This record gives sequence, C-alpha cells and structure tokens, in this order.
Amino acid sequence: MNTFSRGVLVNNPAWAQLLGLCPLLAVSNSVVNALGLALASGFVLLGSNLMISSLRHRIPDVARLPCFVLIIATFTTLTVMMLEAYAFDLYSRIALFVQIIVTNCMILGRTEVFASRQPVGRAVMDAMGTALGFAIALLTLGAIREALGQGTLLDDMDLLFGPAAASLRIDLFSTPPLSLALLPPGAFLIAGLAFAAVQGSRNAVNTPKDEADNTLTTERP
Amino acid sequence: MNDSGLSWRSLLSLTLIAAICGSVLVATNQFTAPKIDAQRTAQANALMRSLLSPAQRQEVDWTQELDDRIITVCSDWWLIHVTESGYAGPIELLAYWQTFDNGDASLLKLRVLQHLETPGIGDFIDHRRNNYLPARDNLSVAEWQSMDTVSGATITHNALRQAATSVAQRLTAEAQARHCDTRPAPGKGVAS
Repeated sequence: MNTFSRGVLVNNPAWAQLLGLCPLLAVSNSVVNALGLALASGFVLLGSNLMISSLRHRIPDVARLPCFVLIIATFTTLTVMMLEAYAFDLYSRIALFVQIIVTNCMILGRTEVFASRQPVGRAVMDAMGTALGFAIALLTLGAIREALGQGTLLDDMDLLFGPAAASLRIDLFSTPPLSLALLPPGAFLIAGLAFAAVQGSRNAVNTPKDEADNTLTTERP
Repeated sequence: MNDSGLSWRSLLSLTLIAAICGSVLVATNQFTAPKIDAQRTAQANALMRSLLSPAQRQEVDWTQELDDRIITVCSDWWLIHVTESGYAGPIELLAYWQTFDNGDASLLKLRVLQHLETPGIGDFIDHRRNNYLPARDNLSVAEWQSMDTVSGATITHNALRQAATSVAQRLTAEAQARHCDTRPAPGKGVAS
C-alpha cells in the first residue's frame, strides 16, 4: 500500500488514529463548515510537511519540536488571514477551530513521524493522503449531522464558493428527524457509531500480514 | 556549549527558519490586511444599521463622529464601539444607546463584533449563534447592572455588564452636553 492511500484508509487520522477529534466533532455540524476546516487543515498539513521535509537536514534535533510548531503556526496564521480576507462569513463561524489547527496533534504527528524523516516527494504524498482522509471523516460526519439535524445537505455553500453555490442546497426533510445531531452529544454518538463501523470493517478485511503492513513508518531512510 | 545544547550552526538554522516564517507572514499580512479591514468595516456597518430603526437609518448619512468610537446624529440616539476583557481575550462590542426626554430610562442594545470566547460556553454573546443579546434589547443600563450572571461563563457575562456600565458612563455626559446643535454637512461617511 503506498504512502498516499495509507493516509486515506489504513492510517486515517480520524477513524483509525482518533486524532484531531476536537475540531472534528465541533465543526462537523454542516457540510460547509466541515469542508472549510478540511481545506484549512489540508493546506496547513501540506505546507508544513513540505517545508519541514525540505529543511529536515537543517532543523536541529534538540529543537525540532519548537521548529515544527513554528512552521505549523506560520501556515495556520496564513490560513486564518486568507480565510478572513476571502471567506469572511465562513471564517466567522469556524474561526476558533481554524486557529487551533496549530495544536492539532494529527499535523504535529505527521511532521514528527514522517515529514522530518522522509524526502519531499513522500512527505507531500503523506500530507495529501492524510488530509484527504481527514476531509473524508469530516465530510461524512458533516453530511450525516446536517441531514439528520437540519434536514438539508450542502446548505450555505455560498459562504465558500460564492452566491452561485447557494443553489446546491438539497432539502431532504421538511422536519429534521434528529435535532440532537447538531448538538455536541449528537456529534459524539454519530462519531462513535462511525468509529465502530470503520473498526468493524477493518477487523473483517484485515489479515495478520495486513496488520504488519499497516504499522506507521517511523524508521529513518 | 555542551553536546545537548545548540551549536552556533544550529542557532543559525533556527534563525533562518524563523526569518523565513516571519517574512512569509509579513508579506501575507501586507497582501490581506486591506481586504480584512474592508470586511470588518462592512460587518460593523451592517451591524450598526441592523440596530437602527428605518427612520434612523435614513439619518445615517448625517452621522457625526464625536471621537474615534462614538457616532451620533445629534438627536437622542448614539452608537458606541467598546472593548471589554472576556475570558479568552478582548470582546469588541457595538452598543446602541437611546435617551428619552420624558424621564424614561435610557435603552441599551449590545452586539458583539468580535470575540474569542469558548464555543458552546461563552459564545452565547454572539448574536449570529444565539438570541441572548437580541432578546435583551429593551433592557435599561440599570437592569443590565443588576442582572444575574450566566453560570459557567461568569467572566464573559461580566464583560457584558461592564460594557453596559462603561457605555452609560461615557454617553451620559455626551447626552447631557448635546454639543452637536447643528448637523454636519451631508455626505459624511459612516465609520466602523
């Protein structure tokens, strides 16, 4: 299994490693919020992996964690500035959770475990795979919660893609079937069911050899 | 320097990394700052108009800034931009204050422009997420000052009460002075 697909499926940061759960549960009450955070997290992860991998021979080992946090904070701040400038309404909704990307253990974990020890190409593929895996988790949860809690799908997409995207809204139910889904307890319940489903399917299809292949790559090349 | 410390070469590397990060941020800030300012101004103007009645909105073109944070139309209503300390940082508020010549208590409306309060606990002050502030539009300053705090968000709620107090202190004197007897020339823009 290659670096990209490992991040999407086997080592999915949310479903398999249970990383980044705070923003995952907090922001996934609609598809547009989930997509906004997924894009922001993906940009920070890609930029951080790229820069850290490029500078890996120059970053002193004893000061590597402050360096990683500095680089992640830089990309997070860039994301905050760009969102506030070009998607102000969406930024107003998810601002705090974009700002705390800097402390997202998923990103710090990938930089420490992978990007700081691998060449640029592999670090970029790992970032893309991990970001896609996180986005799939966010969007799945966002779609389920929005459908159950609000009775719609793709509502408010104009916040991200302009006025023309407002027509993407799909009305599923005239009365939301489970308003609890929009609240924090609903997020925990739905995420727990999703974790169980993913883990059950992993157990069903994995062989012992697959388990050995699925271990994280931590060795230096 | 011992083996566990940083060598001069390492320090140079750290300086280089910090310089790269700082330069990127400064360049991006230069690029985005005007757009962000424009967005914040538009948000403040929209919020300001939402606090005014239709008749007052027509008067907005004649508004006068008494100082950098107070807007009036030289009648009985005032808008003021105040900043109070919340739990996680400053809370920027826009306050609408109306006085009455018949002796009725002055009315105060508060709206939050920006905040960093904890989601789910302290963000009830954000009118885009919660009806807490719009539901208290008809309260007087005295009622604000005697109101019970919100359990679990004491510091956040105290900031609202402090805002009500500071608005009353600053605007009572302005309202009594009524020192803008003549309207300024039309065409003066509305500041945020």
